[in-house]
Amino acid sequence: MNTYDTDNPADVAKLLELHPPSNYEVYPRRTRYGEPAAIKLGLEPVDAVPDVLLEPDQYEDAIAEAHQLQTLPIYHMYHTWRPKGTRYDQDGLGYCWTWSGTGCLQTCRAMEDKDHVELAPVSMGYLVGWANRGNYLESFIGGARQDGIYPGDMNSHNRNRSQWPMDSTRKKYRLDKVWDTNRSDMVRHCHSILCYGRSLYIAYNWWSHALELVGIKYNGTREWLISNSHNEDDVIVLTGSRAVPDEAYGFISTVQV
Amino acid sequence: MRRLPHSWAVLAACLICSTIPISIASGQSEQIDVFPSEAGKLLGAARAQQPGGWLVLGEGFTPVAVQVLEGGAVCLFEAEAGTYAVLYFPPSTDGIFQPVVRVVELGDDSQPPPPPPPPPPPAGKYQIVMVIDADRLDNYPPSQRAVINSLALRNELEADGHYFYEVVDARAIESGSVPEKMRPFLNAVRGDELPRLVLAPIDGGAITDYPLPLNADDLKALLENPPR
Repeated sequence: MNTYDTDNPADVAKLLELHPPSNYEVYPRRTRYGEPAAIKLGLEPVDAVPDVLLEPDQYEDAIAEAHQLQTLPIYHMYHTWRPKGTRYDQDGLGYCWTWSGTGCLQTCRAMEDKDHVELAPVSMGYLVGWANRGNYLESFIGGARQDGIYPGDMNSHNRNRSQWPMDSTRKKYRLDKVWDTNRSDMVRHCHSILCYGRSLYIAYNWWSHALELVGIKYNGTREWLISNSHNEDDVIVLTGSRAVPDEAYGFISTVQV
Repeated sequence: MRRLPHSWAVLAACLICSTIPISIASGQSEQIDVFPSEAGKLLGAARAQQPGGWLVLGEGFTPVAVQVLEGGAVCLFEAEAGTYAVLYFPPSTDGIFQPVVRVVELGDDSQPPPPPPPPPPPAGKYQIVMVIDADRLDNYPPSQRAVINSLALRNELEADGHYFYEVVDARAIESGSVPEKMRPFLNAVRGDELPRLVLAPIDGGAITDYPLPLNADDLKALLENPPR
């Protein structure tokens, strides 16, 4: 498990080397939290679910309990689609926006106790015309809700559209409910959604990279536990001020088919 | 042979009366014997083709007093409710007596039947299904959500010998996407307020369902002693 302090320039340099921001794999969100355009995309503001929201003085105890009970997404991810030792690799393809989103949907299905079906991130390439190109997280969410993700090898890089038809097969694996987060209250919203029991589809503008937030740990400092797609065999840990995501969406449920 | 039917009782009474002189009209008081002679006793009778010897045995081969009528063709006895052996010894021409044996139950219909024995205690290990309304999951208390989401709890239940089957969203019922194996569990909660805990014995059997406990301790307590 590699740890990177985002307040340490040397660690940030390592992260940027893994994934140069000049690749522009992730574009900053177009909508704003809580505005009609966002709600129309299915992005429900998490502030509309006040029973779920934690207060700052509850963070550490709630996180500790969530680890003890293994209700955090990281445990369900380890138990199902990404056990420790499993490599998840976009392998230079500018598709972090779908590798992370697909992982997030698989973790959501795992927490819903649905049978595990491996889903292929590359099957969402239709959203960018099958080009090797970046995308908006909102676009992935829209596609995952409307069309679904095709089952297949989660490390496939085959962008041949005939491999991933737009048919009823992928409709079985669609995202349903999504909770939106407010950048100005990001720490609170991330804690709340994680302790509710779901992972978050996140992005860092400074890194132009999308990942999946699967847990938080307090170990003298706040550690953000993240499922990345650079061929690691475990989650990575980010600490420091820049570990707080710029954009985050809780994948709350998937459809019943 | 069962409890003496009413017609037999009348017959017996007539037979008995025919042997006992009664003079009501004369106003004289006569001694009669009535059967049963005391509360709690029941009347048993047997009739043979020809006069013979009679022996009635109760539990532990305890002999019961008999009244012999019609020269030995009819045997009458009174006893408490129970099982009796009636032995009839037909007349013998060669000195060898071969008894005919019948078992008679004297029952007391006025008493209610004994209650059925309590069912055996449950085996104690269960297949476990939780049925929830995912659209209302945010309304469930955090401790109840933890029951649903906790991997540690599931592992603990399985280590205790239970089988954690699945968490099922009620929307699966509505959409018709219910796997066949789940139907019995979901049928059990049809019309019930969710969330529910559905149990079936680990080796199969009757399905029972309960409101989903609000926390892990209550869940474990329920599995130890499921309410009937």
